[in-house]
Amino acid sequence: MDRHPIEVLSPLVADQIAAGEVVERPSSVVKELVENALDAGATKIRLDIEAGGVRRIRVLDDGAGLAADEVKTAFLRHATSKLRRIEDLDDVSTFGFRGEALPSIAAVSRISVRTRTREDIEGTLLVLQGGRVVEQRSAGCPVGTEIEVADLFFNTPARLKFLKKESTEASHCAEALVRLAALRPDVGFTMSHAGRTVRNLSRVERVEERVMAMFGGEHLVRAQGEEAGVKVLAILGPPELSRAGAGSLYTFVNGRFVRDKTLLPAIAQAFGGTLQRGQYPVGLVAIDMPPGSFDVNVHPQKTEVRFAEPQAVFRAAHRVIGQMVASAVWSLGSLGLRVKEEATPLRNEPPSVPREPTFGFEEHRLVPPPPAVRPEPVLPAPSPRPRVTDPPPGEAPPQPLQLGLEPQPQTNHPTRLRDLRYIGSARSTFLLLEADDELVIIDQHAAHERVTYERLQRELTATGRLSSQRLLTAVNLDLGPAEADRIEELSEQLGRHGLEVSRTGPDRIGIHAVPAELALSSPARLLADMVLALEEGRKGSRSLDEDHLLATMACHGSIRAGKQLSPAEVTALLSQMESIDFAGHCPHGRPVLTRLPWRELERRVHRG
Amino acid sequence: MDLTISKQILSIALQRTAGIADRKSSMQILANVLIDATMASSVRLSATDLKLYASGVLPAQVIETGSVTVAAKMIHDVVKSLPEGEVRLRTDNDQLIVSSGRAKFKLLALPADDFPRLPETEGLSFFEVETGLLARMIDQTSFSISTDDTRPHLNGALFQGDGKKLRMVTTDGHRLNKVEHKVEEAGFYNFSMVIPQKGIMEFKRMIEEGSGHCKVAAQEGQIFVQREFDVEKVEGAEPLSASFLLVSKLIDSDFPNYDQVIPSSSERVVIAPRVLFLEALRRVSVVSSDRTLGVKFQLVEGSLEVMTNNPSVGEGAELVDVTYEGEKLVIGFNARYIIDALSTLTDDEIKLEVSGPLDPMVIKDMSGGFVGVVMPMRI
Repeated sequence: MDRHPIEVLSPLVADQIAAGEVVERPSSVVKELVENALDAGATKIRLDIEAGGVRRIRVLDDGAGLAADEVKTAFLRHATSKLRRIEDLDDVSTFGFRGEALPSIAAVSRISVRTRTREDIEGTLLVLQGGRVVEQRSAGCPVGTEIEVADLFFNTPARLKFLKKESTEASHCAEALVRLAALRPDVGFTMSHAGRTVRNLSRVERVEERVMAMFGGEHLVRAQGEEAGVKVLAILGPPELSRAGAGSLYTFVNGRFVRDKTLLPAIAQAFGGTLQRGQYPVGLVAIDMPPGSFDVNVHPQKTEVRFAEPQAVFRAAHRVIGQMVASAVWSLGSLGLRVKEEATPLRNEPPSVPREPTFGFEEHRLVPPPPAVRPEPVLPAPSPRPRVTDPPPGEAPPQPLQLGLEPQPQTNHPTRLRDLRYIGSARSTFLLLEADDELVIIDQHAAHERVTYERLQRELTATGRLSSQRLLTAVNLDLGPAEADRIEELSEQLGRHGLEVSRTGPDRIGIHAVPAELALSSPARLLADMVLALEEGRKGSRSLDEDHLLATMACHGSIRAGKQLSPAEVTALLSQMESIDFAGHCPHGRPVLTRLPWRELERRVHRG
Repeated sequence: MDLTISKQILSIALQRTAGIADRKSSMQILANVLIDATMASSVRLSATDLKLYASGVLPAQVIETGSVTVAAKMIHDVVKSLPEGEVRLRTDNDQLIVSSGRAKFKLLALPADDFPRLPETEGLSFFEVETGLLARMIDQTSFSISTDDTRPHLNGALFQGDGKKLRMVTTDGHRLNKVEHKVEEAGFYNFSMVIPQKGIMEFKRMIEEGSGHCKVAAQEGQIFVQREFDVEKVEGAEPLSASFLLVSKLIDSDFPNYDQVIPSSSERVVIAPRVLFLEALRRVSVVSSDRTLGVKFQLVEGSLEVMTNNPSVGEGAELVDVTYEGEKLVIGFNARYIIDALSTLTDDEIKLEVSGPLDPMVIKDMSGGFVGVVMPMRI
């Protein structure tokens, strides 16, 4: 075998290798360039891409710009304006700080930069190819920076091969932009692909408005609160708009987009079983905490974060969002049923911060923002625009998003489900109720399941275990030894939920008691389903399997579709639905009720 | 077929048979009632859902023999609406003409040949039971028939005879109720069968009215209950009577060995006033959880306190004076299970036998015919 001598890599090759970490695909370039623009205090950022960003990525901002003598330095490895000493790393609150971004991009593309600061009369043009400066001269240009990255990966064909088709790369670019835009309503973002505008997020006053624009007008509810120094802001859609996977759930820590194993489950679990497994709500959750309490320097892509105390983050997010879910009955909204805006009393912040529209990374800005950056107060958009569910007019004015909110009054409307006129049931499945302006249709099984679920959960929370009815004779099940082992292992947890089991033979399990709430269900079926629920839940975290288990149990103890209910049973069910916290969805995430406006019926028969 | 019959008799007969007809079946003819006139002075009405079979033989004046089937609900509704008097039933091709006075209905009919064959009663050996006794036995047990379809052997009532005693037992897995009675009537023999819940309820409907005896027979997986009714009494004349027969398929699996479940001895014995105890249970359980009706009994010397604590409502308690000398015991139950048993008993006092908080409690009446076993609830 030939022996190759060890040689030091040429700087160019080293840069190209490093670039592979930072610049994975066009969207990585977009992320770096837009972050730079934001760090430079831009109020308007325009992104144009061509051929999925491979042929061209151009970012134009009205930020601070670079002085002539800084331009070239910006493309040196580890050149940054954001970090001076290693101690500063703990306090990093700007996006970029490694000083890797620009040189890495430059190493694998052809770049041209035009930039001018407010103080300079003349701007600078710098052209680089594969990291080498080709041209630098004075040029006329507006204040700000225009950076164009062309022919990405022209000198690294291997990398080029791994790119997906143009439309996929373009949507990754758009995603990168949206992640940066979500918490910056004070900055306007536009994006075009091949000359066609694909995103247009104009400057608005509140984060809600920005998030609404991102999600095209769905019903979102906002909550915010603080626990143990962890501030949580959540703007989320109702369970029926949830999606498989967290793709439409944007999570941030101190303004930085993150994907975190603590945060996502906390959000999903806060929906208390209204979400199906693997589903997440749409919207945004932003955590703000002291800069020293987490570490973002985990991965160059920087979507991972390491919390010093993950449990504190989990608890804060779970509590704030949980309270929101409990009180924001999205689907009952237009019935006027207990719609309120969640507002947890917060400590008042120093008066200098409250109008800050984002979550706290601005105080640490190293590049001073030019005066134009300060967001002007923008009037709330006129009405056909999507709105975040607000308290009805006159009860509380819409509040700008701020950290020092006064507690807002909770508004409880007098309309109650059981005050609606019960007309009858359809297919022994749907209960029909007549309201002033609509027909309310309730799925009796889902509704009852939800009620049972709440009861089980309440009992479990209050007493730590569910009451159980003992059986006259044990119900014995003959299983394989492996399965019997598994059930035996779970016996303590099952017992806490009212199902008492023990090993009664080498491959036999005896059921001695069943949960009292579900006393009429078949013990054997109940055991099978509860074990399945626990096994599924095992992969997730503890409280997730709790919810799933209770949901499974609730299903057993509930009125089936197809059972004709007496009017008394209907009244009882409706009043039970009111007595629980959240009646909008069954624990499996299906909606409990739907509504048909009379207007819609009238339209269908061409009346009026 | 052509016959006349009293509207009153026809109406009673339809009321007792038409309900069995199965309107939901895919076999259309099961929704019909069979009218079968083969004798000169009687007509037979029959209906079935293939599990239960009901028929009545009624006095009538048959002009022309024959048989036909017609929608059970429709003819019942038509006959109910007619004025008192004679009703004429006459077939005309594929129609049944129902006429009374000036009213006349033509109802679509289906041929009698397509109607399922009815169980044969010839050659059965019936024994006689007092209807009141049988009805009471059903009352004291039928409420604890299991509805869990994974355990079909519990979906009915065990009905047994051993030459001296009649016995009925039901259980839903949480409680068991057993009632036994001595029988002196003739022709009584050993038998054991499990009657499905629907059959039990129909039997009860058939025997609960009036007094007298009914005849019972079992053969080939079916139980037969036959009873004569006076259907028309005219002053000075012999009352007209009709004979009704109800047949139910039996559950073809063994009822569990109930004796094992009934504790032979208990550490504690309580004598309680039945009505006061029952009322206390009803009152206190008002505040317990609607579904589980969990109540606790606190037993101390001389008294039994019924208590409940529902975190989302509040609590309730009532003290009942009882005869008890022993250690203190606290034990939880589903109040419904005890209310069900106590409310079907008639004695002034009842006996409770209990050992520990996880052991079954036995409820007995003083005359000794009834034994209820209720498993405790851990609250």
